Amino acid sequence: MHTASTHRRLSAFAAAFAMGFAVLAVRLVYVHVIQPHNPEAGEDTVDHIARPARRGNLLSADEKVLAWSESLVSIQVDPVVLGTNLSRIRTVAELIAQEFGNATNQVTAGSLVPLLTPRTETRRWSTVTTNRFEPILDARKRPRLDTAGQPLVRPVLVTNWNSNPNFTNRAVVLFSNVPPADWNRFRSNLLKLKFPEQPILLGALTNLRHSRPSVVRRLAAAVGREAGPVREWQAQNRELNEALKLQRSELNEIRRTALVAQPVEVRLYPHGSLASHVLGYTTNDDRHPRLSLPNPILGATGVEHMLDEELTGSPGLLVTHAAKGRELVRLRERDVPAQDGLSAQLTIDTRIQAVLEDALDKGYAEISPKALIAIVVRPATGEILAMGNRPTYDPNQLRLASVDARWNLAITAPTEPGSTFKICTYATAIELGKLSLDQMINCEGGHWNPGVGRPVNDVEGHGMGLVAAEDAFAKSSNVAAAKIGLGMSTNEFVHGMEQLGFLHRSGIFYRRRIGGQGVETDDWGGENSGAIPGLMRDGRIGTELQGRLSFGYGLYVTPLQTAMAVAALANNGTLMKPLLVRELRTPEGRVVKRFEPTVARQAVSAATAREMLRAMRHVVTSGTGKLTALADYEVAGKTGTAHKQFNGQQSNDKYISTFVGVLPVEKPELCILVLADEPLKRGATSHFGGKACGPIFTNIAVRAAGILALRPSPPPEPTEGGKQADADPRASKDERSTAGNRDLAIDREVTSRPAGRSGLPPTAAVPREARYLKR
Amino acid sequence: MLTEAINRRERGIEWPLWLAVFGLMAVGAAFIYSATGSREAARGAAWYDYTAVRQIAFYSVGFGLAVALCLVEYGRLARWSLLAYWVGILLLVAVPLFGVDRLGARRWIDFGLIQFQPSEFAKLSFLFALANFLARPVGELASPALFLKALGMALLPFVLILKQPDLGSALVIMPVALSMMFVAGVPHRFILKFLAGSSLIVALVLVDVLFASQRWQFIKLKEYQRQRLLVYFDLDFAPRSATDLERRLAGELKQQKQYNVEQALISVGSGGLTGVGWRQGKQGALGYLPRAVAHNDFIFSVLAEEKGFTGAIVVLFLYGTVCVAGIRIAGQARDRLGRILAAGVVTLLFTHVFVNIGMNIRLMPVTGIPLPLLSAGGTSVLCSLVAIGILQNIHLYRRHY
Repeated sequence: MHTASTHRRLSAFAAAFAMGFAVLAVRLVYVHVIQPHNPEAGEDTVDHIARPARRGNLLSADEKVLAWSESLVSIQVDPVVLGTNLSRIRTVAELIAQEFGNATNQVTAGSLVPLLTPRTETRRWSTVTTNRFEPILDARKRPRLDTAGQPLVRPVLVTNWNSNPNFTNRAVVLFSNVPPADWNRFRSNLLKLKFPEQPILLGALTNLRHSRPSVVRRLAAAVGREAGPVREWQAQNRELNEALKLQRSELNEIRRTALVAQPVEVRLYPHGSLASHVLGYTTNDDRHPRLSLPNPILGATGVEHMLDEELTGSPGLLVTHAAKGRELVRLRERDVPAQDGLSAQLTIDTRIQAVLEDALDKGYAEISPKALIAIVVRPATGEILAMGNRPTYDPNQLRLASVDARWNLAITAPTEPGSTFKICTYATAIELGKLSLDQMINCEGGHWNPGVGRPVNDVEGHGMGLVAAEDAFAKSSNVAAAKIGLGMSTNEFVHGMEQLGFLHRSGIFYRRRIGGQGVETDDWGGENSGAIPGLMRDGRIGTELQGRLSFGYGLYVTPLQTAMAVAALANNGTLMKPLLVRELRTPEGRVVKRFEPTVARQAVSAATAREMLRAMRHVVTSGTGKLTALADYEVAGKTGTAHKQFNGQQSNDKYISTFVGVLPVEKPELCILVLADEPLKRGATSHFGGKACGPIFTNIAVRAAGILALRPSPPPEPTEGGKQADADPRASKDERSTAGNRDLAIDREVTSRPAGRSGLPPTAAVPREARYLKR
Repeated sequence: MLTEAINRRERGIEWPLWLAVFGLMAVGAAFIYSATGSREAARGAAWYDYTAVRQIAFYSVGFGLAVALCLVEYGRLARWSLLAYWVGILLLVAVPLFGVDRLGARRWIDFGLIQFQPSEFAKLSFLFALANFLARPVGELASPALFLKALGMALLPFVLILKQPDLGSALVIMPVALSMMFVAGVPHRFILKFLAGSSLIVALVLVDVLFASQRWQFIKLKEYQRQRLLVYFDLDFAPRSATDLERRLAGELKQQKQYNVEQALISVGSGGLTGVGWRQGKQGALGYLPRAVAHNDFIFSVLAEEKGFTGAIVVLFLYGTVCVAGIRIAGQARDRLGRILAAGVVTLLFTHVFVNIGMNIRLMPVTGIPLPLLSAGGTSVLCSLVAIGILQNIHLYRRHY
């Protein structure tokens, strides 16, 4: 039966099948293994949706909101989606104008049309941006995992070069900072928007192929056409259907994607320029834009910069599957909610800050300095209660602020301190036992040649002869300070400066390491450490320099360093680290970190501190700071008036004037520093520290003490000349203007008791007004 | 007589064939459930409304038919083949008159209880009739008139099915006819001439359809057929003289039209070596593979995504087993009729498998051809099982002189 021929044919037949299967198998190997078509096919359906996190608030010590963030959107249009059809553009423009146009922004449909029209530029290269998600790495470059063990990712916008020569205006910002609710309302209206062209093709909606003629006639009537032969309609039908489908998809595309809202986060400072230098400001980081997330806010200066990491939250992530625009909740993979940033409570007290700002404004107008700085510190804890500078700026309107106005001069501007630095000289000498306040010093009539270098001069007309050290300090004798300073060895002198914190940063801001690309830099938030330019490498300084340092020339210190050093003397010699942030809280208000007052070091002994307070009290009662005496509180302080230097030459008409004081002397609660750069002589005021800055100090001190409800200083012990008299308290206030007499009275009182009485409890309940009675 | 009886009992049932067939049916039921089960569960369908359950019911019925077919020896069945052939032709003629539309084509006749696809029946009856016709002595086949008659028998159902329109089913007829003629012993020169001639015609048709402008298109394919061919050859829909707008429209249209192919290829590609797991496939679940076709014409994509290369190869192996068994049966058949019939059945099955899998992996243009035993669909399952039954029949009576 089976011939050779049939065998051959069957074999050929089988071979053909085998080849067929082989072809299929080879192709399968190709599409499955060698080159899978679109290997991320599964990924295509996965949506990574980022959820923005809000930046934390900044709060004051009295729980006022100093800075907060608002989530807004910026509305952008893609004119290319809109196309060139003018009637479509007009329709959309009219809706936008109707929703967002008002008298202020002058937006009309007509003004919008040019913005909505696609522009074509010919560019050789353009870029295409897409979102890519990359893992977040920890310090050891390993991916960070969430609690479920999944790697955490963050969206990164990737820009690729594209050689498309037609570059058009694809993202035109129409409105920035629109509340999300307005956008949502607008979008729902946009999705319902009717375009005028739509009804024209209504006849094509139905497939007429199998419709009865009566139906066709009804349809024809509906669109205002003549019902011709059905065959003709059918002929047009397919084209109409195709055209209509296209038109519908285009119009839907316009409704859905022509306008998009890019979320933006806006940082707001409700109190305007209040404490603006402390708070700092933020910038929008638009170098790393992320789709569907607002641009990151970066703290640029101040607390915003120092606490940037803490204030910045971490965005959440939703990984889910979506098909045709709908989320498939069943297949949701991960849902990490956004974590808003922490809020920070500062030690700044808005009431005292407001007082300080007001006093600075008045002082700025009165003495017209180039710059004016004030700091209020609580000596016992080192808390910065208020800090401000002039000129200032409003962080809400950063564009209007000059760059100079943005510096927080209180920590960034080291100057030659002048006489205020004598505090350090005297304190160091007393601490070493080389000086007592009663010791007599020859002030040489105001001119002294130390034998090396330039002679030392006092201010014209202030030369003295042989006086007690206390009086020399009160009258701010440079000769006396130089003699005291040169009485110490260089090591002793430099060690004293170091102890009081003049050679190091105060540490008001964290030390943050900002690194990147292998470069590590220390970032102190702009704080300057000051310096002694002539300091030799081995720590020795020349004799001439040491003499000049003794009365505050030849070195540079920041106002905050001076304030903290004086606060240390007011705190029994304990130097505190300045404290600016009290605590960090979660958005719900739970405290996650509390910053306690920190002792830097015991700068001088308590006894020395007491002696220095006595000397500073003497400045106010009978020295250069008489203007700063207060009725209710005993003030101790020190004036400073430093010649500015220009090109190594001392200027004789440009000064830096300072007053730094503490109150009340018996238990200091406030340490206030006021510094003016180049105060002008005008009217009754002068450039001297006591005269120029004293009134500003008093202005702040009186009101701040009232706000803190400080207990008034106890009345003095009755002296032989003192009378206990009842007097109207109001009358005593009137007395304040006649400072001379009052100061004389206290002057005598103090000189009669060389040991001083700072910190001693009152021995008798004498009405405090008694001290100020005229005799 | 006794030995024959023993032999028949020993070797009566072709086990590899049936093992492969049952394997394919199991795979089919499983992946039809994977493609449709969750949606039907979500819809709240009764258990007997599940596509997979209906498929199993069809398997049972088809198996019953195959067993029933084995009761009568194929030689006796062949005597009725000419009648069956003309009934099939009659049904095909009836389709345009009484048929029902589904998915834009008229291929079904509604018998109330079931909807019947005459083209499937016509294919089988044609197979029988042609085998019967070619089973005459080899010497007679050398006459050209006979060759032309045989060709005519093939062309009649071909044209009728082509008019439905069902290009895929129609094209299946030609390889079946050719392979049967080849195995029957029709001289090579006839077959080669026919192949050359038809290749020329096909090439001319393709060139005309794909490249000629509207005015020069003498062969009017349906627009969707033309588009499928354009997609397959990756050609632009727009003519060369088109404006930019037309080009854009045509581009979008092409995107739409090649959607199925693209998604099928994405499914297969994302399966990788071992697949994403049964019922874990995203392409089907998320509706990227169109729901209307995922469980029938594109069931292979579902399988290839969920079970990957291994699954696909296993299925190919099962089909290969069926084909090898079929060819073996052809070789052992007791007469020319059995050999020609078996060759025709094997070619029929193989052509379906090749074209369907080929369109899933972009080897062939998209045509609506089901994958035997795997695709959901009653008529296809019944006809496939009947075809297997014919093979078994030939095997069963191979020594029945």
